[in-house]
Amino acid sequence: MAKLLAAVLLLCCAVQARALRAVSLLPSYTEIIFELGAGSDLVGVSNFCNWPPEAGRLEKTGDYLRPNIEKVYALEPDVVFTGAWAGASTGKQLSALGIKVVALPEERSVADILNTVRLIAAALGRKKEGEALARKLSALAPRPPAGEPVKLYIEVDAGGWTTGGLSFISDAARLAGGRNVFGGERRGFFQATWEETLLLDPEAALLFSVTEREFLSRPMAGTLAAVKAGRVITSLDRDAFTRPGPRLFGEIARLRSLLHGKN
Amino acid sequence: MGKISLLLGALAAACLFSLAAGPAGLAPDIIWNLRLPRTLAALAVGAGLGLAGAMFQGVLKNPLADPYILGTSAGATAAAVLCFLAGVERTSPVFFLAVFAGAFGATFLSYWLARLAGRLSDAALVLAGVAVSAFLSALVMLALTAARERSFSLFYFVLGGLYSAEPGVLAVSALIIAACGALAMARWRALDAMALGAEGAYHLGVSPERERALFFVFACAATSAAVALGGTIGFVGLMTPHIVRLLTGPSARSLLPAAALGGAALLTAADAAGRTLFSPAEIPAGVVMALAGAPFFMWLLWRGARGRA
Amino acid sequence: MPALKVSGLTFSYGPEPLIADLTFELRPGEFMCVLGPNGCGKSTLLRLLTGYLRSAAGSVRLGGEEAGAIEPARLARLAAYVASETATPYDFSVRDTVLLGRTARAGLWRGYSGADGEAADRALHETGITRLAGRSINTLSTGERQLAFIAQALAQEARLLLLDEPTSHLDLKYKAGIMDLLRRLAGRGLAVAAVLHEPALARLGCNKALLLRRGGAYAFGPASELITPAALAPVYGVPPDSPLLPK
Repeated sequence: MAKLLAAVLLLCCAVQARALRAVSLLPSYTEIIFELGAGSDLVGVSNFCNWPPEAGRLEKTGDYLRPNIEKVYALEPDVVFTGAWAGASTGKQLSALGIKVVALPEERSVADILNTVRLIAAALGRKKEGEALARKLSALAPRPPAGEPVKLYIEVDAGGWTTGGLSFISDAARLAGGRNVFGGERRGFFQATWEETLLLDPEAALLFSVTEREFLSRPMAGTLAAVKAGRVITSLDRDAFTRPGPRLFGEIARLRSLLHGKN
Repeated sequence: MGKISLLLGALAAACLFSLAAGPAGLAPDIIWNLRLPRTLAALAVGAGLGLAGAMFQGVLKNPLADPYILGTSAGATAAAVLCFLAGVERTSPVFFLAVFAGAFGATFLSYWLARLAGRLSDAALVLAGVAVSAFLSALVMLALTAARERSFSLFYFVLGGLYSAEPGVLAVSALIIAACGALAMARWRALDAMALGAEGAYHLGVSPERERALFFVFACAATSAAVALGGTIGFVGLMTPHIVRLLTGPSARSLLPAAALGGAALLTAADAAGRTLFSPAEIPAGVVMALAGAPFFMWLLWRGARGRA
Repeated sequence: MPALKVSGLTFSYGPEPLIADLTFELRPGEFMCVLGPNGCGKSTLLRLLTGYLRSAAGSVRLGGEEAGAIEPARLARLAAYVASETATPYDFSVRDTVLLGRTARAGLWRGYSGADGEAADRALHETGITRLAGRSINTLSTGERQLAFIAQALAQEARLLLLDEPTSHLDLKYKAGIMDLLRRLAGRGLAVAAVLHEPALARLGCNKALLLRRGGAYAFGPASELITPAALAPVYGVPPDSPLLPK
C-alpha cells in the first residue's frame, strides 16, 4: 500500500515536473536550475543570465533590478523565481497577475546558497535532485583548510569596491582558507578607502575587475604583503565567484589551492 | 586683504584635514605617497571647477551658470565613458581632446538652445542645460548597460571621485587648469564688462562674441581637465563663486583667483570628509558635493525669486 | 569736422524699411534729441551709430572713420553709449561700475592706473554721485542708477555721447537734472544725442532735433524749428493743439 502511494506520488511529481514553465530573474537561479537538470523547464531568464551557454538562447525578461513584468506574464510561467535584488514590487506585481512567485531570501553565506538550491528544487518538484546537488556542492568546500587563514583583500569592482561580512563572498573566502580583511564590517558591498586597505595589509589580493598592472600602479601598492609575496590573484572567474550559484563551489576549491597549495 | 587671508586659511585648513585625517594616523609615508597625491588631485579638480563656474557666471551674466548645470560636465563625462569603452588610454592626448570636445559641444548646445528659445534669460539657460544634461546622462546610462563587465567602475567614475588619481592624468589636468586660469586672468576686465551683458560689453570696447567664445573654451577646458581627473562632480562651480564673491566682490580680477582657491578648498574638504566620515567605506566626493550643493542651489533659486518679487 | 556724420543710412528688420536714407550730422557742442513714436527706430538708430547693428546701406562716420570698420576697443573711445536700462546680477560698487568705462583705455589685463581713477572720480563728480561711490549698483534708485551709467559713459572720455531714453521711469526732478547735465556736457564740447520719450523734455537744452516717423520719413534741423506743435503733431499722430505737445 505504502509502495503504491509512493509510486502515485512520484508519478504526480514527475508529471508536474514535465508540465512546469519556469522563469528565473537572477543568473544564480538560472545556473542552479540547469544544474538540477531542469533547464528544459525554463522559458525565460534575465538579460544577465549567460551561463550555461544554453541559457543565452532563452527568452530574455530584462535586467534583474527591473524585470519586464509584461514580458514575464506573456511567457505564461507556472512559477517565477525572484530574489531580494529584484525588489519587493516585482513579486507583488507578478502575484497580482496570478503567477506563482517564489521569492528567495538573499544569500549571506555559502550555507544559504545550499538552502536556495533546496528551495528551488522543491518548487520544481525535484527535491531529490536538490538534496543530491546540495551534497555534491558542499563536498567541494566542506570546511576551511587547517592552518592559519590568509588575510585576503577582495576587490569585486575597480575603485575599491569590496564586500563586508554580510556577503556570501566573504564566507566563500573563509571556506577557501582566507579571511576577508573587511569581514568585520557589518555591510555587504561597499567602497573601501585605499588607505584602510593599505593599513590592513592583506597577504593576498583577489581581483575581479582591475588588472594586476592597474592594481600595482596604485600608490604604495608595492608595500602590501600580498604584492611582496606575489599573491595578486586575477585568475578566478568573476561571474562564477560573485554569483551565489553552483559554480562558486568550484571557484572556492580553486582559491583554496591558490592560497594553501594542493590538498 | 583680511578677506583673502581668510580664504587662504580655509584652503590651508582643508589641506591639513586632507593630509592628516585617515585610519593610518600621521604615518609619514602614507601622507607622502597616498594623501598628498590625492590632496593635489582634489585641489586641481576644485580649482578647475571653481574657475569654470566663475567664468560661466561672468561671461553669461547668469548667477545660476556652472559647468554642471550647463551640461559641460555631462558632455565631458559622456565623452570620457565612450573613451573608456573604446579602450582609449586615460593619459593619451586623444582622451583629453575627446573630453574637451564633449564638454564644449554640450555647453554650446545648451547656449544655442537657450538663445533659440528667445532671450538668453537665466531660466532659459538652466532649462536648456537640464535638457542637454538629461540626454547625455541617459546616453551614459545606455553605455553603462551595454558595458556589463566594467559598468561598476564606470558608474563610479560617473559618480565622481578621486579613489586613485593617476600621476600622469594629475599632471596634465593640473597644467591645463593652471593655463586656463592664467589665460582668463589675462582678460579679467572683459569678464567684468560681460557682466553688464553683451550690448553693455560691446559699448565698453569688448567684442562680446569673441569673449564668449574664448571664455567658453577656457571654462570647458578647465572643466574637462577636472572631469578627466575626478569624474562628474557638481555644484563646486556653482557654489564657489557665490561664496567667494561675498569676500572679494564681483570683479573678476579678484574673483577668478579667489574662485580657484575657494573651489580647491571646498573640494579638498569634501573629499577628505567623504574618505573619513564612514571609514573604512568611502563616499565619493561628487556625492558629498551634491549633498551640500543641491540645498545651496535651492537657496539661490529662492533668493532669486524673492529678489524679483 | 563733425563728431558724427550719417549719410544715406538704411536699415530694416523685415521687408518694411525702418530707417530709410537718413542723413544728418552732429558737431561738438551740439545736443540733439531724437523723437518719434514707439517703433519708429529710435533705439535701433543709436545701435546703428555705434556699429552694434550693421546697416543695409549708407555710412556712419565717427570722427571721420567708418563706424562699421572700427574695432570695439577703439569705438568705445570715440563714442559712449548709455542704454535705457542696464542690469547686472552682481553687486559692483558704483565706482567699480564707473571704472568699467575705462575698459577700452586700460586694456584687458592690467589694473586701473591713477589716470583711470581720476577719470572715474571726475565722472562721479560731474554727475553729482560722488557720495554714492561705495554703494552697490543694485541698491540705487532708478535715477541714481541712470546717473551711474552716464558717469560710466563719461569715464570713457569719448567725444560723442549717445543715450537711449535716459529719463524714462524717472521722476520730474531727475528728468530735469539729467537734461541739465547733458546740456552742460554739450556746453563743454561733447556731441550729445539722446532718444527722448517726451517731446516736452527737448525744450530743456536741446539745440538740434531729429524727428523720426514710422516707415523711414524723418526731419532734421535746429530744435527751435522742429520742437513746435506744428512739426510734432504729424510725427506722433495727435492734433496740433494737444496738451501733450510743447507749445
